[in-house]
Amino acid sequence: MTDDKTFQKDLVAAIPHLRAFARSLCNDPTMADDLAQEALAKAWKARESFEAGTSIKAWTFMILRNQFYSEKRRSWRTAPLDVEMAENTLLANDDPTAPMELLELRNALAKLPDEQKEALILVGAGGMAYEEAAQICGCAVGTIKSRVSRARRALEVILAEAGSRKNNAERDIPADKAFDDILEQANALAGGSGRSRARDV
Amino acid sequence: MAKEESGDQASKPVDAPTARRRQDAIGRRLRQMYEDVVREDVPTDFMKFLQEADERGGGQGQSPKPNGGKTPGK
Repeated sequence: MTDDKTFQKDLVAAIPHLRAFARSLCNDPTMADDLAQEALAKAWKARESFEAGTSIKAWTFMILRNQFYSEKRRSWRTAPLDVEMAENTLLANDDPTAPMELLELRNALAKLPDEQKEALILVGAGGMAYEEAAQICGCAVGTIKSRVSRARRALEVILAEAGSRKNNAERDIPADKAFDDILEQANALAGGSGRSRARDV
Repeated sequence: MAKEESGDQASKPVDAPTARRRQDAIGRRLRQMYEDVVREDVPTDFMKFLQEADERGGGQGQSPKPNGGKTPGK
């Protein structure tokens, strides 16, 4: 009763994170929200099995992840990232400064193997501890660490290539310079909207 | 899909400070990607759903909340 109320309140508080996790896993925002809602429904039904005092966020992420993979096995949930759709998504974001470079990041993420992608999302994007991520993914902490580090290196390569391709098409710039261009944009962003946020994470 | 990993330019080893700088940038963008969604208003669907869950799930005489915690509209 009161427990249910508290649980519900905590569950509601976890929704933005569930959505962010889902959005990072499947590229289509509508599918992602469907997934997040299904995970919410499951979490609510399974509320008896939630251990009070543990992280409800980690628990719901685990549910969402299981849901994601079981549906992925059944049908196919992740849409290949459609550039036009992704642009629309970015434009639909109220943030007028929504940077196109995020599209590149999503594209690059989509190329990673699932287990590397999810590890990097949980730790690198969601700011979870390795231990928590390991718990969510049902594997050893060391495994998560190595997946995250492989994912980071792979992203670096993919982004450098993307930068090189783009720039070769436009101007004649070596890959390293291209990556630095992308970096400068990222740094400019961090100097603006990003910085204050980085502090409270 | 196209599994053409590592064009030689891109996979060329870079010095440690460059690698660190790149990783910093990637880290920042990853967090930004995630935080952008966290900061979005939660679609009201989500709240409606919880309200229904409350009605269906709370079969022990508790009355559902009349308002499922509406998010402020845009």
